[in-house]
Amino acid sequence: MTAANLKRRHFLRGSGACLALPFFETFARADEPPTTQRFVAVANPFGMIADAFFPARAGFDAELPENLTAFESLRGKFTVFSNIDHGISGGHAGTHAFLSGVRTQEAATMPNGNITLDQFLGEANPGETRFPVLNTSAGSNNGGACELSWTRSGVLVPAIQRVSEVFKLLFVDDSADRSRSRSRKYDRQGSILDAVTAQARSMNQRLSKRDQAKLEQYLTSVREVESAIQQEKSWVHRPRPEVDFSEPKDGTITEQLPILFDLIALALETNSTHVATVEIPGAFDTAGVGLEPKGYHAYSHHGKDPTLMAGQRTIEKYQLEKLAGFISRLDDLGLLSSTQVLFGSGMGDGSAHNNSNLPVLLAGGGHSHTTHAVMPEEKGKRVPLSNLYLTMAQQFDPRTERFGHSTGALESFGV
Amino acid sequence: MKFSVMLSRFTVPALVAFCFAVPAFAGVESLLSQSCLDCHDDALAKGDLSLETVDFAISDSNAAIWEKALEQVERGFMPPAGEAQPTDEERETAILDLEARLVAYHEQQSREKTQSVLRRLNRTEYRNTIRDLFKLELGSDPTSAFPGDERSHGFATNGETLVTSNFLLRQYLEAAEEIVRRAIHFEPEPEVVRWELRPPFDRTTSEQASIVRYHDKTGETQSYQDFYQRIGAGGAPYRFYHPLDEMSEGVPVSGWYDVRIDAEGKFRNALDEERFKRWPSLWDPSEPIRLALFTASLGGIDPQNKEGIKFAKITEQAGQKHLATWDLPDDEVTSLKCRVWLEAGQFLRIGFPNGPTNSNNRILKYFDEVAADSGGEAEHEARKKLYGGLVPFHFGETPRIRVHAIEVEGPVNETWPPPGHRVVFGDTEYQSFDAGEVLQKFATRAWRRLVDAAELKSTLELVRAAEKAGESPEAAIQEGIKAILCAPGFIYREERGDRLSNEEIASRLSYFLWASMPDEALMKRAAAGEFIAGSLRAEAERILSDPRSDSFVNEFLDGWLQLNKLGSMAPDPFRYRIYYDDRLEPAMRTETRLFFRHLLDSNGPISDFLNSDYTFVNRELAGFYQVEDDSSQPTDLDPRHLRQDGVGSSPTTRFRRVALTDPRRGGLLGQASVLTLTANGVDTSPVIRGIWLLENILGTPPSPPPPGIPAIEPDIRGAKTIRDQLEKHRESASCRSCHAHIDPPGFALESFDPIGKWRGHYRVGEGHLPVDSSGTFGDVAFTDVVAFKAGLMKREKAFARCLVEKLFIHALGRDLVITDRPHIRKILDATEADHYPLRDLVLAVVESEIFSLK
Repeated sequence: MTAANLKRRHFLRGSGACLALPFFETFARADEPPTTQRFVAVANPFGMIADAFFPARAGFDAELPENLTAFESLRGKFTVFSNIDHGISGGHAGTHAFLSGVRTQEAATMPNGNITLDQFLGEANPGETRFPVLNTSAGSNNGGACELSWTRSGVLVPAIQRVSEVFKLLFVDDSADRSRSRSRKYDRQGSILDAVTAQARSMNQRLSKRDQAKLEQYLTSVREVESAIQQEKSWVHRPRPEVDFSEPKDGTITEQLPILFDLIALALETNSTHVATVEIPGAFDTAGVGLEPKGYHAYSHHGKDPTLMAGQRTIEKYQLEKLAGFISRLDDLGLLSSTQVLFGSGMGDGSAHNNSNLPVLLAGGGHSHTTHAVMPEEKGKRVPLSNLYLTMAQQFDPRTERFGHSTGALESFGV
Repeated sequence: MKFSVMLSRFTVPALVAFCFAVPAFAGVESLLSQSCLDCHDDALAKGDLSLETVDFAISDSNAAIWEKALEQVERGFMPPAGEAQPTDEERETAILDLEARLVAYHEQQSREKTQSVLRRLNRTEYRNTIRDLFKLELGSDPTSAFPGDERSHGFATNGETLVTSNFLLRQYLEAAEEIVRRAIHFEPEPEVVRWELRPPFDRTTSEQASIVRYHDKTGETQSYQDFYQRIGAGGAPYRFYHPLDEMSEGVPVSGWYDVRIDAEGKFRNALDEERFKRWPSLWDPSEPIRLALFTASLGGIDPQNKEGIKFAKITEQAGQKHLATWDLPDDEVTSLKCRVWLEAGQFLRIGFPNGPTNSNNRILKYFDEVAADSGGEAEHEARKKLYGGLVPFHFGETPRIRVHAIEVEGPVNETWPPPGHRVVFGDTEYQSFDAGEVLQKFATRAWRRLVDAAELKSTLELVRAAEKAGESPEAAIQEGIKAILCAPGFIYREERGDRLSNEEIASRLSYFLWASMPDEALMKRAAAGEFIAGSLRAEAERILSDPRSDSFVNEFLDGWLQLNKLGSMAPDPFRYRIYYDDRLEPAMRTETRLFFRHLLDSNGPISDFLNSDYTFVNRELAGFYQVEDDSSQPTDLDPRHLRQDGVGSSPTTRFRRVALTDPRRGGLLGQASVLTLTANGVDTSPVIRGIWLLENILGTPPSPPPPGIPAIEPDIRGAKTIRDQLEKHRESASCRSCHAHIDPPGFALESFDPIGKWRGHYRVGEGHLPVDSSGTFGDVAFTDVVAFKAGLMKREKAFARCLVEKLFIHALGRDLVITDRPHIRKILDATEADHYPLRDLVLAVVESEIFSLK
């Protein structure tokens, strides 16, 4: 039996009793990754209570713990990973490395700095969408920030915190002035490429064969950039998609999060972007889920106090229910097999303030999912989270060899 | 007999070819029959290698095998430990013999395959070239969004591995826009802007905001602002920089700005240390209170994103500049003055680099206790209730910076337009008519060679097309400049023939020793055809004495010692807090750079790298090494190298040369930079340190382990030391042949922990295990690192060869090949008597014939 067959078997198991036609379509796509790849990361700054997040047993049929009950209908389309992290510490000071595995202080020594997975994947297909990456947040960082997205030059990408802004960006056209000046920039860069091509040709005649082969890299790059510029420029004057959705009102996190998930789904559906992040930051209004308004951070510091801990479970359950709703929505839209949805946090246990055993859930994206993948726990055998990120990046570009501190792609999701 | 038959088959053709040069049976044949064929014959063929049927006459089919054999014998890996060894003389004779044959063979072959291949500028070279091309102050890095350069043998200068991608080309386009915007100025001279700032300067940091509220509520005038908190981390991004809020929109244009800060140090001796010590205190009352000045910018952040703005204002920013540090006098207001370069959009921030703690909670608890003890508790608590919990800072007495007034004025332009504009357009007004000439003059500098008008035809057309499309001549010519910066003539270092032209040699020289383009003097000499005649030494001397040669020191050390990896495995912030609290990482890097610079400037013997009775430290590093700080020695280094305080004045933060009375620290192997970059931030591994030493000090990298061998995993039960585990590993014969070389240097260095601190014991859970740093390396048995280094000193020649090879790899931008060996040998022979002085080695590399070959 080949690996491909194995994948297929898993899928059949995952689809359970209802072997209807749409599923065949889906797994046909799962075997050969569809050309369009999408990625959404959802993160909070304080981690998850372990027993409510990690299933007790490993494997496809693992019973889901209390906070994952909303995922029952998605079995076979997601995997929770245990014993996976970046091997760093620092408590709150380590959470900013969630999507990079690299702390800001070591960024200068890494070939790609502390670039995060979203920015990295946003580079994969320049010009394919209007927004290479869309970084959003369900609200204010007051009370704890995710610091989720970083560029390769080490700059924190601030997330848009208001749903009205996200809506305008996605669905309201730019002013004519702005469009004109952007379009002119593309024209200027296009002309520069023409001029340098001519210089490259004349240089090429003087070079040795080996040098000519080297210069071919440059000429290839020129052609690729020319076509990317053409594509990007076409977005400038292309009207934004019309959607059946009116401009939303800004609000608290529990008011904004469902709207934000709807907007991200719309953004993916309209191909406005293929890469997005959603932060669920510290300003989470605990009153919005029926708790005392103590603040998210205070609940996460439960110190095993039963009331606080129960509150924390409520907050986490809410997040996972909204997430499950979002994933189901993508599934209904036929987008899930091409969209890797990653949920997690740069903190493991918010009460203990550690950065190990991070809560990580991956759904969709054409992987063969196993509900609960338990990675080796022993020191020295642990799997860096960056290896999962590399595996995810390879869905976008199979030639990707490295991401951050990765040591190699995952061959399968455990079992 | 099998043996004689075999020998005759080997020797006959070889003797025909080489009998005039090689005495029969004295060279490689003799070694082969004595030492190799027992294992590497057809029957046993250990390591899948049989030398039995390999012909002594070098040919395409066997050259690679012989080169491998040469390498193994030379590095001492073969014959393996435990087998009978040839004498040094026999080994040397065989090596010379085989080398001569291989060189003779390769000299018959075309050089094209081994030439250096078309090289593009790496990030440092690009940045430096832009700096020198436009005489530009680079307040921010134009290459910050470029992908990292792939390295080969540690160096980012190899044409094969320096690839060009569409992503990079895109960055070139963006960078060119930005560079031209910064360098070219047709607009009138910008007006001078002046900020007269009075307290409070910082309303953003929490305790400052609360003190501002206190003054608002009480109606008191805030006549000064105090800064209490150390710029700190604990593993997080450094924070507690104090923004000058009224400037936070940034300066309107890039340029030089004059800054005046009226400040003093307060309460330097007021801290009740006994009480404060209970929290790890970072305060040293013998130090002056220091004020440091930094840049920051809020570019790209939505102004309505309040937390985003606050975070950026008080946290370390990528690419921020540390402009100056001052030692503040106590209780005496002093005007600190400096002129600094600010990019448009940048503003200033103040920091307290040596404050007592980075936790304002600790200071608050301290205030609580002091208040309780002095009977002032009621008032203290009442104040907190009335004005907020952070207000005690204002009343307490802990060491602090007190700032009374700040003035900033600029931009200050000595000339207008600025120098970068004038090098492109000269002093006359630009007219469309001049376009061709301007482009040709600029391209000749930018492409580091004579450029004829025909080559710029398409660029001139681009300018004309822009004019036709309605751009002004001034705007249109800028498009031409950008095109020249994105063209392969700028991006690549073109070398045409096998023997380099004068211009090409000029570039080799400047990129080797400056990591930048040739200057005008160098280009003039090249144009006069002086280099072919062989006057490179004087020119190299001139280049080395220019401050731009700092790039050589930095780049070469990054490649040779992998100094760029320092910090890539960031030490555990809980176990090695001091690494962050005392900012040891930059200090470690500086120590190693100064050490190299010192040997380069003084033409000192390279054996000092192996062991020395001096090093260079700042205050923090001196404390870390526990060396006497007052034993400063005279140094020949230029003072600019020792200063870390930018344009400020902080004599106490300077580096100085200190005598090492403790022999454990001397040389590179005692430097914390090397010891940290060869660990992973948590554990040490003798294997990693051993391989590092073999590769970078002795030039004898071991072969990679055979496939399927698992890495040694740290023992989580803590019952065994890493040494015990390695001993076990070495019981297997196939591991032993390499690990007998790899492990011992690592054992010697086990006395240094992952950040290079001396240790006698390993911490294992609650207990301790003693460190055993003894071993046998080659035929030298050692008990500790001091004895190990003494043994290493006997391998001075191997070290010299390694260093010269690294210099060549860096300079030539290609892998070394067998035909380079006689040239390297020549340099070693010429400098051996003087114990290989570093500057002489660098100059000899430049003068070597292969330096001027593609």
